[in-house]
Amino acid sequence: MEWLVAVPQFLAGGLAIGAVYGLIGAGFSLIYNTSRVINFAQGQFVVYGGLSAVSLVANGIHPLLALPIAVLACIVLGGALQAVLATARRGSDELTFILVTIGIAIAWQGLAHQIWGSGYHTFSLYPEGAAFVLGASVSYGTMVTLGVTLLVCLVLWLFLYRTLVGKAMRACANDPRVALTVGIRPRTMVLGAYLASASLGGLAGVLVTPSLMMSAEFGVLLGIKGFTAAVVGGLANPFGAIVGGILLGLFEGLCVGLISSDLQDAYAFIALLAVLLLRPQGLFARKLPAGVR
Amino acid sequence: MLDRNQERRRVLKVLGATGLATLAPAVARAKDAEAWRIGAALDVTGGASFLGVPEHNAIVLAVEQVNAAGGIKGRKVDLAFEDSKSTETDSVLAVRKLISQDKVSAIIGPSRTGGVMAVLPIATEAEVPLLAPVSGVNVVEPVAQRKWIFRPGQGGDLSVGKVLDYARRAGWKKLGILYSADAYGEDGRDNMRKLAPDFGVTIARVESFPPASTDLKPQLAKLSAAGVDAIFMHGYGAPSAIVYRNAREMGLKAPIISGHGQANNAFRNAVGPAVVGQPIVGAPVLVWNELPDSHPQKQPAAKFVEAYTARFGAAPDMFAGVAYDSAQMVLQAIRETDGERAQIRDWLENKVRNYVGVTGVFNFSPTDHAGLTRDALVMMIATEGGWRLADYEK
Repeated sequence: MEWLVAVPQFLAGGLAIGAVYGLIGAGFSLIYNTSRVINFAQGQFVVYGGLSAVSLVANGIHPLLALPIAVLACIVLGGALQAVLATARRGSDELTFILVTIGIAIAWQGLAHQIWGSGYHTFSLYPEGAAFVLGASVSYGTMVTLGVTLLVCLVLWLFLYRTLVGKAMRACANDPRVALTVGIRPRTMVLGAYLASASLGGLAGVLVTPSLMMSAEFGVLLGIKGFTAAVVGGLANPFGAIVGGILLGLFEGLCVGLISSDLQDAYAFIALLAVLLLRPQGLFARKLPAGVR
Repeated sequence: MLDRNQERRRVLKVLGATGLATLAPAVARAKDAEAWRIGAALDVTGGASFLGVPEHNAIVLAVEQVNAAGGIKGRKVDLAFEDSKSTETDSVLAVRKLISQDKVSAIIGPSRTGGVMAVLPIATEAEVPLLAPVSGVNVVEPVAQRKWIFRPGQGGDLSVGKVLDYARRAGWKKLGILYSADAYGEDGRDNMRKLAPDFGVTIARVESFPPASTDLKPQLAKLSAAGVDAIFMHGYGAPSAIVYRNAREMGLKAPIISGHGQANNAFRNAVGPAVVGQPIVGAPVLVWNELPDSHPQKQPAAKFVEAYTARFGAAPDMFAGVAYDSAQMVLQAIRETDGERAQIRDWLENKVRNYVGVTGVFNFSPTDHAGLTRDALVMMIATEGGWRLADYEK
């Protein structure tokens, strides 16, 4: 039991990656809320965000300037994705859209592979090193990631609950047809959701690349973890997704530490299964009354 | 995409040569039948692409060199290439295609031990010699069931032996193992467990990580809490670089010594300063200029590094060296026989005796299809810009 002293370390590790899962998961949630589509290309925003930043920094651009440019690049991608989906015939169901996002994810992964090759890349955004909290090493990268995640929560909350556009988006999520009757264009809201989740994914990518590195291949796994975070927290609620991500990260860290590291990636899926079976609406979403979707 | 482009290029070349578009298919077949055709299934994409890309480069170089010198017995050598994409499934597809469609006379690859394990039965059943540039011990054992498989790669047992030899010199008694949860990592773990007692070393704790791991601090914390003198890390790809970065952030006291999965430029570029001073098992090709002149690999490695750098603009790593040696052996076998599959196999088994390659001195025999000894490895110490030869090796 001598390794029980390492429990804070298990939690610290989980916190860092969990915040990233949460940012990706919030993107899933935003798009799902406005359009009932699960965007499986979400993980690719992370890859493009991270790798664009790598390229920008390699070309002499300051990392702090590279961050917004990389996020902007992802926003363009998000717009493109929505534009493709918008060409679908009226009346196509959500399943079609979901399959299209899978196709686009695979195409983007291939493209990333062509652009950045197959290796893993990194750049430095924050100073290397770590502080010790309760005997656990918490890297500056973890602190920056957590801080930015909190900031994102605040901005997202202000946007959704304190601006008219945010209110319109929530109305649209609630019932697009009723929203339409009061003059809200659901299509515009859906586009807004895609742009917002692309920027969240890109931001997660830029944040994670300096400490964990990034490769064209990482999108799929990060996307699935983000999706799990969203399901754990409740797909209907982006803040739930962020908390869900952090919980998922902590759960993974603890399981690896206390049970076995052989199953590191399996724990997320165990959590996913458990939540889907026991509390399908997620931990932080209100249970919807029967008859309402 | 790559293979289709190659195919297209090949056809175009023939088209240009004959200028008779209508006859192209027939001519293409005739031309191909004239060339010696060797196959390569390598992981140029996916998690092991850091292995597959330099390996592919090295084989392309070997084939270009032989064709520039007029081919073999007046016939060109044609390389059929398939991407095995770092997965077992794609390895199987790639090797099947090379055998049944491209009808190659020998295959080099796949790049990972896991991929090779998956294709063993196919090559064996089709009776095609397969040269595996990997480290797994089970790839060539038991040799009775591995008649068609040869392993020119540095074995995991050799690499672990090198690590234990270093441990003895450094006075480490208690080691922890940190391995990637796949065939490569498990091979390292098993070899370490088997060989450690011979060197008076005990294994205090064993931890693993998935090949796509993003945070290894929990594992490192457990190893550290077990009070190990050093950690033996056997993995590859991004997580292996994250190990060093995490260890530095945690202020980990125990040194990390790694197998040869880290002896490549992709790792060195990604890990940054976190690895400086740590011992890594490597190959002569990486530090050839520091080797004494008497070292058998000094001259071949110098020549290979020069040619490879001129062709691809970057220095080769040890995986490139193994692939280059594999290609050279196949080409030599074709030179000395009629180039039939069985003849190449027999040549490899019986004629590779003290064969001096870029990687080491190879010896295959009917009872041993693993070609190298521990002499084919060197211990390196990571420096700011790359690595240097450990002092005791000079």
